[in-house]
Amino acid sequence: MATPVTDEELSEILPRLRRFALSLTRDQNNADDLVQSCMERALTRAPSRRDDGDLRSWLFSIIYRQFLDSQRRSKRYGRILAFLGGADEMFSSSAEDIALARAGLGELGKLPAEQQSLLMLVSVEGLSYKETADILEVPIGTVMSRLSRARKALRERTDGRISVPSLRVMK
Amino acid sequence: MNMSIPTENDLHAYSDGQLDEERQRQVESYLAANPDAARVVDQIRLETQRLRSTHQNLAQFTAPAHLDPARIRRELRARSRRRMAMAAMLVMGISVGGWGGWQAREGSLRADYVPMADAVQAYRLFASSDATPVVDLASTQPTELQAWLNRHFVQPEPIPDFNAFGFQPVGGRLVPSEYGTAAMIIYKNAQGHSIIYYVRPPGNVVNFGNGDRKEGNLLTQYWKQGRYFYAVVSPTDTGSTRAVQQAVEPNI
Repeated sequence: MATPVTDEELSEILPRLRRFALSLTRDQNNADDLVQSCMERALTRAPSRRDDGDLRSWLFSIIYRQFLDSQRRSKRYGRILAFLGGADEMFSSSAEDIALARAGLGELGKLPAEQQSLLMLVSVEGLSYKETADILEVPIGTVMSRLSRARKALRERTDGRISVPSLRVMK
Repeated sequence: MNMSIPTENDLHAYSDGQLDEERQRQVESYLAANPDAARVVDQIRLETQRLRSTHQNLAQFTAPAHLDPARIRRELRARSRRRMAMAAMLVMGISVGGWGGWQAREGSLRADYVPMADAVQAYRLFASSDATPVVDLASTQPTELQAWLNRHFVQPEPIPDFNAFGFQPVGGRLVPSEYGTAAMIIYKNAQGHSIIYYVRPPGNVVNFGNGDRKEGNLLTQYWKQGRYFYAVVSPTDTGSTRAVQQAVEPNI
């Protein structure tokens, strides 16, 4: 039996959803779009909620899936635009947005999105590796190896050391 | 027992409390004997703590009004209502469109069509005055008038005999109408009242029901028979025509 999701439960998790979405998109507007569609999905498809599972990780997994979908869409769109003469500034956030996102994500804001959201789930939210693997749709082993890499990267950045090699331009 | 040296992943998992009990004990005993590994674990735990405290405050992420669950729920409900309404409108649109379109089509044909208005017109023009009407064939003989009518129409109905009611035919006349040439037989009684019997082709009128219609002081009783439309137009402001109207009625 699926339990209906109450507004109180959702309201409580909402700030966490926004933060997780921000760690993915690095842009609060896009993050909130994700959150909104996640909530719509959660409210219309409550029966698909895993009864034994944590509401938070269920919502995170919805957000992550929608994030991937939107990435695929914008990539497709980007390819079309590039084909038509290219206008990729459309997809890069403004400096102000990035600064705001950095402020919201703290030190994590300096990491690539993938490591950011991973540390957000494991270290900040305290989810289990299993839950994290389910959300990110990867095996537990992958979560673990990414985790040690992410922690190393964070250490390097917060210690002020420069790590140029991982600064890959994502386009 | 597997006492293998913990891997880096094991140390992370240990720090995060993600190992099963047995493995956790193994790592614990390894750490006790290996301060370097223990330092790594401490560092991971410290960093995790720091991250957690940095992100403890969620105030910045307090949701704006448009993300309020109750509001989203309301909007979803409204949206589904709109969809239902739209679906209903669509279904209605199709049926109303189909039915209404058909009605409109007839309406457009009917709009300027008043049944047998041309018969009334003909009466007014050629039969209403007391003077002797101008006719194509002046005759009081029903057979002559019938023969004349037969020349212009294919198998028209026999002209009515109103003799019993005091009305005798005085002549026949062809009149143009927008539906084709029509013919009228004019009857008069001793007081000079006129009645006409009117025949005309149906033209483009497809939907014609028998009936009667009063316009001013004239009653038009009309019906369809065979290829043609027929009408009898008689005045209502005289008692002398009542019997004629009653006699025509069964035709309708």
